[in-house]
Formats: sequence, C-alpha cells, structure tokens
Amino acid sequence: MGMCKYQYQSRYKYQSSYKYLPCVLFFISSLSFADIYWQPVDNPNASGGHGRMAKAFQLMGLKEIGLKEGTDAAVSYIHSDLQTSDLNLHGDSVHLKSTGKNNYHALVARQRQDNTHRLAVRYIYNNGRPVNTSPSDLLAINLGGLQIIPSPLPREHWKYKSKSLYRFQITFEGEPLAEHGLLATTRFGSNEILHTDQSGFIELVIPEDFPEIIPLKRATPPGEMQLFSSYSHNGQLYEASMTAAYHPSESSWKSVSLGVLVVLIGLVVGFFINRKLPEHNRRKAK
Amino acid sequence: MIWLKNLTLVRRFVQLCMFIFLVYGSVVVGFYAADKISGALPSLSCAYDSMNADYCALIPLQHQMHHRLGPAVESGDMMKLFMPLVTTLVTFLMMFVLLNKAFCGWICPLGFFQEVMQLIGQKLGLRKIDSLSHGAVDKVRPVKWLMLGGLVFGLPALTSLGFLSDEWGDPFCQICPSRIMTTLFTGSDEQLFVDTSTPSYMVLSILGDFLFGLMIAMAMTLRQPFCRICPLLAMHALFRKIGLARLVKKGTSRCDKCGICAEACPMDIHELQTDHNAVDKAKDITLPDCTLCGRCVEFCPDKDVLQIRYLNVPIFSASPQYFKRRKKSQTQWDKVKLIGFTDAAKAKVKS
Repeated sequence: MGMCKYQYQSRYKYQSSYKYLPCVLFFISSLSFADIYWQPVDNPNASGGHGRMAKAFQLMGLKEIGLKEGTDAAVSYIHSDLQTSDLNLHGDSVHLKSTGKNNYHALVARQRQDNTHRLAVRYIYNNGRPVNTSPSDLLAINLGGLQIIPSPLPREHWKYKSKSLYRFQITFEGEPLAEHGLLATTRFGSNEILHTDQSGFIELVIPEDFPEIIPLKRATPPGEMQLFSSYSHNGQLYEASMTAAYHPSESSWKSVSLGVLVVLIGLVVGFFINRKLPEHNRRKAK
Repeated sequence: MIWLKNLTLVRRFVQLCMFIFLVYGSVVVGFYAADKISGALPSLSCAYDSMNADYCALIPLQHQMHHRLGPAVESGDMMKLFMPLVTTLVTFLMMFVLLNKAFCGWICPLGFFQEVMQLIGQKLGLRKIDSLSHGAVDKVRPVKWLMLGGLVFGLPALTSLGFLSDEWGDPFCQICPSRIMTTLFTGSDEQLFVDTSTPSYMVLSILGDFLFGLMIAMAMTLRQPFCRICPLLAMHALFRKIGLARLVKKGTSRCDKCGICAEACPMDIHELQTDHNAVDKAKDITLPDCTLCGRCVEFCPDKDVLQIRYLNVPIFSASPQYFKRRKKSQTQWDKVKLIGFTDAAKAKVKS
C-alpha cells in the first residue's frame, strides 16, 4: 500500500501560527519532553481487538524529568465498576491482570515534583462480566488537578479511527478550561496544537499517518495518539496526558460510492420485481 | 373506545415516537452500550447507529455464538455459551412478554420505515399490490426461519467452530437493512459501503446494500417486504404464546365469504379469514407472521369477531360502526395523491 500521511485538521486550528511560532515550538518541546504518559509495551503475540490487546504499559517520560523509574509515581487502576487498585511499577512498566470485569478501566499515574503535579491517564477496554456502571461514570471521576477527558470514549467494541472527529474536554479541578492549549501528537510524527472552546472542548480529527495500511480490519498495527496539556495555578504547574491507540480509517477498503451503486441496482431490481408480481384479490367471489 | 377513532393513526404516532427514540435516543439514555435500555430489544434497532437508545437481541445472539461456542466446545464447559445466551434470552423475553409481537407492528424502526415507504409509493400513485397470492405467501414464510437459523445461529456457530473465516461471525448484521437505514438517518454514510478487503466481506456488503435497495423499492408497492423474512419475526413466533397481548377471533359463518381482514393484513395472513370460523369461544389467532398491528380488527365489519386482548381483557374490538368510519376515512385517504403516475399514464394512453 502507498504511504499515507495527513495533517491534523481541527475546527479550532491554531490561529496565526507563524506569529506565535516561537511560543508554539516552546510549547511542543516543553510538553512532549516533560510530561509523563502511558504507552503500551509492544507485544508481538497480542491478537488485538476485543480486549485482548497487550496488557503491559510503560510510563514514559520519567527519565526526562530526572526521576528514578518505579519509585516516584503513584499508579492506580480504576476498574469499570469504579473500584480502585494500587499498582507497583516494575521499572517503568505495569502488567495488568484481568479484573474479570467488562468495559473501560482507567490506568492512572500521578507524580509530584516540587511545584509540578503530573497526571497520566489511559483508558483500557477489558472483556469480562458485565458491571452496573457506565463508562460515563468512569469519566466523571475527578482525578484532581488538570485532566484531559474523552467526550465520549469510543463506544464499547468501537475504536479511535483516523480521519474521524473526536471530542475531548480539558478540566481543572472538575471545571472546564476555556481557550486552553492542548498538544496532540502521534507515534508516527504528526502533531498539532489545539485550543478549547468556551466549554473546554476541543475537536480533533485523527490523522491518517500510518506508514503502511493493510486493507483489512485489525490487520494494520495501531498508532498511538498522545494528548498533552499544562496549566499554572497559584504557583503550581499541572501537567496532564491522555494516550490511546488508533486504527486506520476503513475508507481505505470500504467504498461508499460502490455501496450507493449497489443500492441503486437493488432499487431497479425491486421495481422490476414489483411490475412482475401478480395482483391477488383475497376476498372470495360472492 | 371513543378516543380510538383510528387505530392506525394511533399506531403511526407510537411508531414515529419509537423511531425517534430508538434511532436518536442516546441523548436520553446515554452514549455507551452499557447505558442502553436492554441490549436485547425485540425490534430491529441497530447497534451501528451511534445515537441509538437500544439494540436488538440478534446482535448479542450472533456475538455469543461467534465468540462463545468454540471456546465452550474446546474447554468442554458449555456454561460458557449457555449463561450469556440465557441472559440474552431472558432479557429479550422480559420485554417481549409485555407487548408480544406488537414489537414488530408498533415499535420496530424498520417496520415503520417500510410503512412510510409504502405511503410514499401510494401517494406517488405507483402500482399497488394489496396482497400476494397464497402460494407466494407460503413460499416466502420459511425464509424467516432460514434467516434465524442460518444467519443468526448457524453461520456464527460454524465460524466459532473454525469452519468459516471470521467475516461470517455476524452475517445478519452485515446484510440487515436496518443497519444502513438507521445510520443514514443519523447523517452517517459509514454503513453504506462495499467492503473490498476480503471476498467474504465483499459478498456480505454487496448483499446488504442490494437488500436495502430492494427493500425500499418493494416497500413502495408491496407491504412490509422485509418483515416477511425478518429473523426477529421468527423469534417472536417461537415465544408468541407467552405474550400478554394477543389477537383473538370468534369467527362466524360470514367470515368465509368476507375476507376483508386478510386483505387488510400487511403480512397477507390468509388464515385470518379461514381459521376459527363458526366457533363458540374466542381463540388465539396470533399467528407466526402476525405483527399485532390491529388492521384486521379495524377492518372487520362484524362485532367482536376479532379482538386485541391484553391479559385476556379486550382493548380493541371489531365493530360495524368503527368499520364504516374507518373504511370511509381510508377511501378518502387513498384518493389523496401527490403525483398520479398511474392516472397520468392512463390518461395519456386514452388521449
């Protein structure tokens, strides 16, 4: 397949980029190298889909902020039923055991260094027994400080896909942050700075930047999307990240125009059959 | 009942409300699958619709056959399959028992869509086929069972056991016209496609698109074309005896000569005319193809011959007065045409 690379598009594209280029570059460099964020540990045996993805995650960025791995971050795992368990980092990684519960879980890392409060979140879908709570309950948990909240998460069994639009909300202590910056990057090198609207929302179209797309569902290894934001308040700096896997848009192997053509053929055949159907009077002759 | 001047109008209003609720109801119930009302609705409400309020029972049934049968057989623990299947069926039945087959005639978004298409066809003056012949009806009837057995249980089971490739795990959803119809109504063309990734996906997607076009064209002249082969109709037929809503008949000797009920039936159930005539006691005539729409009761000219009962209490009964009024309003309604294609063509030939 050919190489595909698109730029991020957004309804809230950064305005006058050139004017603020130095600031933008500083923003990108400071955020992408200072924040902590979750990243899956590559597992060649992972079968993908239906919650069977690799369940080992690496907390990135600890070295960059001068911390020892495994000692300075508090990691918790919020189950889909909102029960929370504390986890230990092994090096910079955690291995997640099945909770036996269905639906989205949240892997949360908190780290504090002097006046900086860092939060890294990743939402992970698991298969298991149904729970009585909704992912909206999970997203409603106030993790404290600055948060990047998917609004909403992809519905169960759905995934983030390139070329599709998604909404996220940035909040501080539960309150939305208006006109606030967010850096979106991908593993394949795309990046974009977005700004929230008055309700704290940003709309993001994930780029189709896969080096190669295999035209079959679940065949292309997923990309990694990383969202970063920071906020200063009362002399404290708050940094937040949210990461997620994304998959190629199915438009590479699904043709809408061909679909319309087949529907039209069906229509023509339907009208033809109608003309051939004999009319029938059900009432018996008196 | 005095307020019930036109049952069809009441039904259409309920259908419209349910259509809006089921297709766009996520704004009320919530976005996630966990928020949906049951996850096993006895009507074709599609999970591919990102804004739906609930989705039909056929989705979990296919999913469970596809993902649970193989592991259950492999491990020898059939509970892995039976527990989720029983959970789905019990959820389905908890809802189904309340309305019985009225889930088809009053709730189903695809059923309503076909009725609207039929109205459009009629108002455009297209050729109208009131009824199919007995032979045609009898030939079509087994198809719904094949759809249920083959597409909802058979092919997903074979896929789970490794006889078929993964594409055949949810074949009914792949061809279901409700998937395309409901998503189009939410402004998304994501489900109207030909999938070129594998031959199996291509076949299924072409079949789905073709069936959608065919259904629209046929619904404009023939009543409820897809309902006749819908696997949910077959599932309803299996459990119809436990439903609280029923259609009952206490036929008279006149029924044999009349047959307006069968003519009014959108599913062309000829037994409405021929069964339970000249009997002493009202008998259940909620037949496998019945959708409990109540049109047969509306158009029955004899008092109390046909009734819709709930918990055996008559809630709507045939009456000569209602019949006269209803027939008159139907005649007036049938005269209203937006474009008289047929009449215009006839006039042209005459001139």
